[in-house]
Amino acid sequence: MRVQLLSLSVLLVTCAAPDARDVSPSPLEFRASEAPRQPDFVADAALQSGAGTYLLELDPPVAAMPDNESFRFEVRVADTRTRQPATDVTLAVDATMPEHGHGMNRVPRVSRLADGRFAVEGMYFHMTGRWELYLDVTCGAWTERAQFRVELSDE
Amino acid sequence: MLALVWIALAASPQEAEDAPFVSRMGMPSSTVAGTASVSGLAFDSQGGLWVCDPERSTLVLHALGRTKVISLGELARLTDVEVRSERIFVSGSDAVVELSLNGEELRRFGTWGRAEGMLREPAGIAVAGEVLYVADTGNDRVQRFSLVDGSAFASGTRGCGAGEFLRPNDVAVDEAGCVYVSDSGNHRVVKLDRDLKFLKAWGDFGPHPGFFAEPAGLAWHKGELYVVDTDNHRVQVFDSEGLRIHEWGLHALLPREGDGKLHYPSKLALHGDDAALSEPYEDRVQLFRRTEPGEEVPQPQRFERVVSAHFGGHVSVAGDLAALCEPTAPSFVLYDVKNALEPWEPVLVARTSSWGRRTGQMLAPTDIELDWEQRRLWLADADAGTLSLWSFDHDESKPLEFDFFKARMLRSVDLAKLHALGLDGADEAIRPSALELGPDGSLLVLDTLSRALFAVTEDLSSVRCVCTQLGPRPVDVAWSEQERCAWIVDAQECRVASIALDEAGDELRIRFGTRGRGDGELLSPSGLALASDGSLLVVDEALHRVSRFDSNGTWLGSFGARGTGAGELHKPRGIDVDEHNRAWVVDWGNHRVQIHSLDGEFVASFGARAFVREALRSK
Repeated sequence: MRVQLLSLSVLLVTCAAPDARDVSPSPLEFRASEAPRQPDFVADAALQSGAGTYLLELDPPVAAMPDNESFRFEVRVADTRTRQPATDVTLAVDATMPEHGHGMNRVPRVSRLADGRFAVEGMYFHMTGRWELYLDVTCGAWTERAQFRVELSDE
Repeated sequence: MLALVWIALAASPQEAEDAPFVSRMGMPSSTVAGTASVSGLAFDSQGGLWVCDPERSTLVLHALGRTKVISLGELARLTDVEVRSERIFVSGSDAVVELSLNGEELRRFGTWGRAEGMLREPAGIAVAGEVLYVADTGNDRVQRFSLVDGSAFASGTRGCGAGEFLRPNDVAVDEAGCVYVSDSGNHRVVKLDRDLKFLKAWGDFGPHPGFFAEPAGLAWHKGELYVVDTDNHRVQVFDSEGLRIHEWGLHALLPREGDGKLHYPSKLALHGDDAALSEPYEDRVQLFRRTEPGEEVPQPQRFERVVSAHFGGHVSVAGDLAALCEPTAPSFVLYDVKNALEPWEPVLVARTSSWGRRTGQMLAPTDIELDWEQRRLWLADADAGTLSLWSFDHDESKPLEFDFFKARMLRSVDLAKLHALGLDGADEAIRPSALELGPDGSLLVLDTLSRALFAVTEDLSSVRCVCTQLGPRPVDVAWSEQERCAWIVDAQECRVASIALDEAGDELRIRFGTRGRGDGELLSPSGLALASDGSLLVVDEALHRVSRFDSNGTWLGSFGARGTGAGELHKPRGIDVDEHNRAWVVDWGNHRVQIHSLDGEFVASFGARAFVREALRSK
């Protein structure tokens, strides 16, 4: 089976704390190919948010995610400006197949590790096709989404 | 072999015929003649049927082929009625009134507010012994008033857990004193003890037996609990522990179908072997009776039980797209409006739908606002208590096609958490009911329940309250960049107000509107929009029309009349004006959007197929 990453887009904005009103009005989203790569992140999995606040790094990267078997991955969330781990956020993970009107038939478990890293277990893409993987980063009252598009085929 | 014989005998028709006959409620009987608008209803001890007429603020008694009318005066938006021991109890705008049978007001329970003993938009009542129970809908709780001394006790807070409610709609009391609550927003029935302590709950969102979609009216009758399952167009019957006994109701799929078919039933009342069911959507009350030997309650086919997806109360048109939300799905949809189809019609190009409480999911979206230039939109969900920001792709050079991936959620704000953090400048968590792009790129958010207007930065990072001195029921807002003012329409006062918003604060500029049915008058305004010439278009749900005013409040004309044909409307709710000065009217009751010139000339219609077909045929 072959996993093809069609596009990888990440949307992350600053944690909109009450003192964060100077958030840049720059576009909130850009494609992976346009994103400035960070040398200390895995090349095809580290992405900068449109507002330039967070970086998300997936290990293994999306391109290595299997179908029809349970898998685990880790996410590292960092503040772009300081390059320091974002420790004041929580992470939720979900995935859906919008064309089919359903999500995964399992609920992944997310646990916090050290240094802004999170472990995501119990992921299971139970059929081939086009999946959308959502990584929702919450800080205070605000949740921002990093959305990955994954296509799983039998080829 | 013996087992096979036993199975064959067990399933034999003979045994089925020998089974004792059980009479079930649900056989269509008749339609009550002469009803206008309807909401709650109740039988008195003689079998007379009392029906609330919310548009006229009257109670109408139907008995022995005659009617008697009692005016409720200043109590507006009547929702429910109970008749006990020569006394009548009526719930309406933020109060419950006790009347004599002659209509003399004896007592009033509650005023608008959140404290114990105060009410907001109570939707259902029940009287048992010397106690009045109230579904205090806007405050997400149940209240109990003593009929002896008027003292009040409130139970419940906003939420989906034990002891929590989301827009409770009605209450019923059994012989043991247990109280049942239709917890509409949570799509369940909650059972409380006589002290209003949580005992159990059953049901969830869905079309299947035992599930609900916006349960509303409740009645306890002869040991059974009757639950009006509004958006599933049926009544489900349970025992006191939630065991489902049976259901009735055939979904009216075509406009104005009756004869036992239901369309958004709301409240019910039972007396002996008769049941009365109100359908505000059809301005109708239907009567049902119990089955007799040889009869069976008509049962729907399962496909009729799919929760319908119909347009909600607002529409936003900008650039190449029109956006609408569908609270009952729940979902939002995008239509391409710049295509070259002949004859021209908007084409559905995206639908995003997922019911739930997780990020990116919805409970009941209330409004949507497009920003064409930035390719983004905002979505309000009052039940979920969220505002969310989405982006969308749109390349007009590409072939017209439906795209499941067109819209992507970027960011959301949890308004309850925002309030808990003290960052919204509000007295309670905001429940967004209407959105409008406002001054300096901000988003204006109207909260009908708290009667306040907020300005939210475009990235949802900060919120500030800009006006709290609104009328009793503000339902829609429009922004005039030229005049730097917000126009707000109030459904209860039947007025439109212009409020200047600047750094110094808010200032009322002009207010106009008169309650009535005549030219230039309003009866139940539900939405408004600004045309490029500064004129205002106000949708009136009760009068089935759109009225146009200049910025001084002078009436310029109206279009629309009740019906299903082209140019006709049925309970219209929302409106927007596009860059060609065409008015897009959410013809809610006909499950479609109609497009008109500002002078009222019909241009096009789109939406649910049966209703659009009706419009085209009439044209």
